[in-house]
Amino acid sequence: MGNCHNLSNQCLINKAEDENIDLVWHRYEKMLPLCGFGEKGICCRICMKGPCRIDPFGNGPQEGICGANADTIVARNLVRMIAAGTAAHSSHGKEIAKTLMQVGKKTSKSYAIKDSEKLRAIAKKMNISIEGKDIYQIAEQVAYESLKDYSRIEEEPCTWLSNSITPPRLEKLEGLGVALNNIESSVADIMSRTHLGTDADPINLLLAGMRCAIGDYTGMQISTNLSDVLFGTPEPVISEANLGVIKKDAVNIAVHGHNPLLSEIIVDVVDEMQQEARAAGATAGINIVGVCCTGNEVLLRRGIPMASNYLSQELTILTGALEAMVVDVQCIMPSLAKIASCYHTKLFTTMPEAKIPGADHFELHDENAVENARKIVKQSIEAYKRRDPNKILIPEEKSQIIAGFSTESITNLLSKIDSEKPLRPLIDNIVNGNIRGVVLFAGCNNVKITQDYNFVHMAKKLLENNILILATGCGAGAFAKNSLMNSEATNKYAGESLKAVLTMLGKEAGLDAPLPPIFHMGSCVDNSRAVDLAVNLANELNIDLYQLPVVASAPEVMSEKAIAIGTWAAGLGMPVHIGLMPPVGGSPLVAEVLTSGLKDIVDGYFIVEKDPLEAASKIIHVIEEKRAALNVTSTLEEEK
Amino acid sequence: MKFITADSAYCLGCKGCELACTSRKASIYAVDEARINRTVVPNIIVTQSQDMKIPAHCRHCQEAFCLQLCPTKAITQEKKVVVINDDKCTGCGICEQGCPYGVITMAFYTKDQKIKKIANKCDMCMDRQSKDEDPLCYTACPTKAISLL
Repeated sequence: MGNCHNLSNQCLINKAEDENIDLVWHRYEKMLPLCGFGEKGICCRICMKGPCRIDPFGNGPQEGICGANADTIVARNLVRMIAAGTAAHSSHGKEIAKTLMQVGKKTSKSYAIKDSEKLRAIAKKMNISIEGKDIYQIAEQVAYESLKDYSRIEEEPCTWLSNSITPPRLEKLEGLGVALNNIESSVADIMSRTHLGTDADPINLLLAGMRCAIGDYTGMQISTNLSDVLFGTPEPVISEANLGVIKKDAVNIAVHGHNPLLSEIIVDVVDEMQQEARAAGATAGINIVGVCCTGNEVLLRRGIPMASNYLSQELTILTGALEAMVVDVQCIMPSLAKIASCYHTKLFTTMPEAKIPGADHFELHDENAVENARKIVKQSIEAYKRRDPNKILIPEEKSQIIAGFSTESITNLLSKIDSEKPLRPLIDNIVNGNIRGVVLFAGCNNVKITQDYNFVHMAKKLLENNILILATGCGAGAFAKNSLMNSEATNKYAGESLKAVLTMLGKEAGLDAPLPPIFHMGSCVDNSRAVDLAVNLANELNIDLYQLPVVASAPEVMSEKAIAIGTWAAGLGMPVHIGLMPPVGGSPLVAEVLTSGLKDIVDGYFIVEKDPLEAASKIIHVIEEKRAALNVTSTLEEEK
Repeated sequence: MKFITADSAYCLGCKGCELACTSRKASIYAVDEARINRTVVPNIIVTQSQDMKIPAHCRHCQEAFCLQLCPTKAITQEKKVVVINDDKCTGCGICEQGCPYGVITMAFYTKDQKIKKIANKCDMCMDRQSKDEDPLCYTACPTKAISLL
């Protein structure tokens, strides 16, 4: 097994070995063998009587010291992971909502409203009257009503949940008691009920996990929509991806993490400091590159090139040409500080809740965001002067990408074909089978899988079978780096009928070439965009989400956030493929509920399949099953 | 004397056996002036090959290579247990190279301000067994992947 599917990155892994620097792959090797109790979810560390471990083979203890069995322990551990994921995503949304509130109150020094049209559309969606109100008053009220989703006392469902899913889905979730009223209390509820001696019923625990995960979804809707208001709704942009976007003769600054509040300001101040960088000897000026989801955010809105997704984040520093890595929250390896110290690279942390030993901390709150962003860029220019030319090795490979497929931009594009019913062309092509179905790729990279391998191999097989792909987060990063998000990829990999549709759409968009076969919809919080598109399709057809030939996949899943996303995707009715077994193997009951029992309750369920080609086959089968149920052409009928 | 065997089908790789082995040795070294600064290494080592986790342990071979190869006759067999006599061991490492199971490891200790090497292997917890107690790795294994022979 190699480390990265993209071979251009290998030279930097070799360089790390030459320089005695440990990277994520080396640390993983040193960690082996991993403890199987943790892998199977049957290690309980919830109280201090233990830790307790259940013997999955039946020879040793079958109960913890308190009497909790494997089912209870696995379910508790799993829902705690969901709660952590939900907390991460939704606090991201809360920061954005609080910033919008300040903008509405005209107390913000650093932020403004960039998309007032979207703000008005959101107000309408939230049943907020806009008559006689100026844009600031609307912003304040939208922010206030959004923040209520974090603090509501009344029992009605969260606004951003009830206004963003199909009516039958809302009814179903309400019937199950999982249409939550308050995101933060859903997280607190998990922590409370999983405390020693509280909830021991695995099914009851899993239902609470589902409610919390629906909170994750709600927080994502808030993050995406309010970010669009503050920073603009993405429109298709052309850019580049992979480590080759780092320039030898520029001051290179990587923005990494998840929250666009920071990176947008950095991108803003760079323009005014280009001259300073050139004066320091960097003839190409300042070059901002993206890593992880912050990278996705600025790629979609600003066309900033993407250097790396999660697993290869350390390699950006190994190029020896990165002056600074500016990070905000989530998915930031603490190892970056140590690796940066082997080079001239500066690591800057910017959020009060995310400090890293060895990094310089410049807090970017509204008061001094611009001022501190300037300091960061200035120090990066200073760092450039200390660069060691002998340590530079930048892999040349980079691929062109077309990104920026927000729900709005897709709808705008389609409205050029049918202005009254913009979704019609998409629906028609799904019905007539030119597009067999849609797969949403999301989620992380995992060191247990050759980086991007599963994404790339699954995508090629699905495209060949005329399945359209949407992608977010590090999945999108994988496709961007590996030349799967440009017109050439459509010509190379898409099946005939999918290619014809994308070519037609490309022509309508004014391109000379087809649209890419994989639509980059944004960061991992932007999975909400894919749901919006699916909800619009379902509403247009007057059906529920689960009936659509749509499947979600996270073939290299790793983080707690991904567990939360997968759970709500299943809760919204989608089959969800994951490429690794989550830590539930120790409870056959929980594993059975997730992969099968869940289907009877919420229509969605998990499919665990390690092998990418096998996984693609299973997804194709599910899509054809859904098509048959909708009475549109299905290969299953042909087989009969 | 009881011996151990390990079944990788039941091993979860928790390293409980390694920890038990090192903690026993640490407690012995702690009260022995001559060995107080000796590096503690486990004599059972959990290894991984693809998805399989395997506890590697001394087989106490009947015709043990380590015993045959030892140039100072530091390795002997007592009640079928292959043991190292620390006082005779010169730390040459030939036994480590000769062991077909890779379970002899070299440890370090300081003597007369010099760092010295010493070979390290399983003694089947002879001290415990003489008191009718089981070997500690066996006792510690939560899934009974290790059993007694």
